[in-house]
Amino acid sequence: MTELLKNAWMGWQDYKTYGKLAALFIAALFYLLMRGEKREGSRRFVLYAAVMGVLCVLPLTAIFFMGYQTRFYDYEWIWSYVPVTAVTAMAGTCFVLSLWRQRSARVRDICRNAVLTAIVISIFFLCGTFGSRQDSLARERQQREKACEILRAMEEPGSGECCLWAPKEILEYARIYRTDATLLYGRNMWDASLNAYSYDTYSSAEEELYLWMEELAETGEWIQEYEDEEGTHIRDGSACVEGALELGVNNILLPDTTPPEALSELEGADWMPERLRITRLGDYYLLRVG
Amino acid sequence: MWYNPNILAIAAERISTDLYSVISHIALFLSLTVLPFVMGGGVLAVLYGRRARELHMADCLLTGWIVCIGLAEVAHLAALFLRQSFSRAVMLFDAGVILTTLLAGVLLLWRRRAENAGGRRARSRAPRHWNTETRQVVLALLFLLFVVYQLVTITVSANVYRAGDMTVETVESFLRTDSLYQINPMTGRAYTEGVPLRLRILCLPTLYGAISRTFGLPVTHVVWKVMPVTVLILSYLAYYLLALALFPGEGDREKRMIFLIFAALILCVGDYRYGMDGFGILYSGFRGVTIRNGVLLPYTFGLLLRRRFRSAALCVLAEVCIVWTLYGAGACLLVLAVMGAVLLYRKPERAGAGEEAGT
Repeated sequence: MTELLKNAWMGWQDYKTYGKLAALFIAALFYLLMRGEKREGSRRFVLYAAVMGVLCVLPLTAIFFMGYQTRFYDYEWIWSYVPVTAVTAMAGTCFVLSLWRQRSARVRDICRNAVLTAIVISIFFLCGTFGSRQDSLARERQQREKACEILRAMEEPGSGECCLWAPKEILEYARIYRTDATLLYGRNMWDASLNAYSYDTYSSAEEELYLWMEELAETGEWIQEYEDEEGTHIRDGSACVEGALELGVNNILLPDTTPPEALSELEGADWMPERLRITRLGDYYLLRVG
Repeated sequence: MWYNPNILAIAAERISTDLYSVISHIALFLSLTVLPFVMGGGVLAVLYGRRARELHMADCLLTGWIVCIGLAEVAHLAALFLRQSFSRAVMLFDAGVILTTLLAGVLLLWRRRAENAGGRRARSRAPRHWNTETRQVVLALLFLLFVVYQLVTITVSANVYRAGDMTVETVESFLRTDSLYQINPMTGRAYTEGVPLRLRILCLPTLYGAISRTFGLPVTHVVWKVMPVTVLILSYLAYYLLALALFPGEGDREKRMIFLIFAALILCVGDYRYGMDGFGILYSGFRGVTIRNGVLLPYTFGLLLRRRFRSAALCVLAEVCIVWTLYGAGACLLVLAVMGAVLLYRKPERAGAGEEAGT
């Protein structure tokens, strides 16, 4: 129970930290409550928003809402019950109209109305972060386009079934741009929230291969040493590639951080199938079997 | 050397491809607006009878989309539990849409004829002043500015937030295997343990797959562009109807427009965090939670304020079809229950209040 209460409270702290729309909403509520709506419907709508807003902030009632919306959703989704956008817009409308000098065609009054409106709008701008996520999402889009290019370039007519193993920046989009390909592991390997969509799990061997590949992409280490509770272990690149082939993989994309001597070692390995081809593909080495 | 003997063939192919694309987009636009509009009008006529005339055109379109979700759910569940192919589900969905539209169209025409026979009533309009009209045009332009920014963000920037979502992969797997949930969309391999039932019953992948298959459009285009734009438009219609409920007077047009401007502004500046209305609308308009928060909930509030409880019940059902809920108890149901109680609650009249008023 303490943990749940803590989650709810931390959820609220988190919710109000980014941007200030939550603060603007509270200010809007106070304004509308103080102003007093003339229409019964509007008054009750504001009352509903106020009550639900308070219930979402209080940890005890927030827990109830979090239980109601099921555990698949985080704290911020309980704010769906509160008409934040509508109430804030309503307050903005009433506030702007209260500032305006109505029914006046004088230029001075029109300018005054325009300036006051611009000030209110700029307050709204300051409470949010206009287009703040655009940059990070644009980077993601560029990565997506790059992955699409690589995946399309990998296509070879008549090459048969493709089972792919690659760094996550490629596998992230593989099931979108190469729907014919199967993957050693998918996006749910690193995006745990996707595991809610399926009961399937990955074997420890597949997880090991994922960890090795990401470490290789980051550090360029072919033989990686790591520690856990049981002691020090080694992940050998050649063993990982061999393990992947045993799991049915026939297309491997290795990042360009891969040491060239490791590639030569792979070509000469006695366990390697004869029909192995290593080609350069953008920032990757493509190992194709068959 | 400049002459390429294949140039005509290439040009013809390009033109036919472009022409096909243009035609399919026009057909798509008409299908996403006209068909839901007619279906919604018909359903509202059934739900409210003659009182349906009091409803707005936006009600028809929004209700039509709710009907589309319902039809997609029927097709999806039929294919899922009767073990039919995805193509069958698409056929069932398309047939359902066409049949419902035809029935709704006939009903609406019949109603219109009956009304015309009874004599038309002329609509009275309040006289407008030039000053007011100019101001409304300026306000409308300001609103359009925000909408254009959002449309550009969705269509041109194509910035999509995909964390925790696998809609495109799921739809692609439906289309590729011509079956529902036979392979794991994440890996393309057969499921070893299976899919939770709470996920399998949701119909959005089938709806998007049906649109993609029917109009021959790529799944990414439908999911990342067509649907978010549609959801954005539906969202503003829902907010407009909410504004209509909050500011219902004939002279409140300006208030409604300012309300929409502020709503658009909040959606633009509130894109900083996953879970905010603006973030969902701009970067993941195809998700069920975005449709719920951006369209169904504002519409539910508007409906409740206008005392249209039957339509609000449709919103509750639509949410169940697109979002994971607690055994069917979703956000719309909670809003319907609490807000309905708040609206229907009457203060107990004080003894003698009537006498006081009469004196």
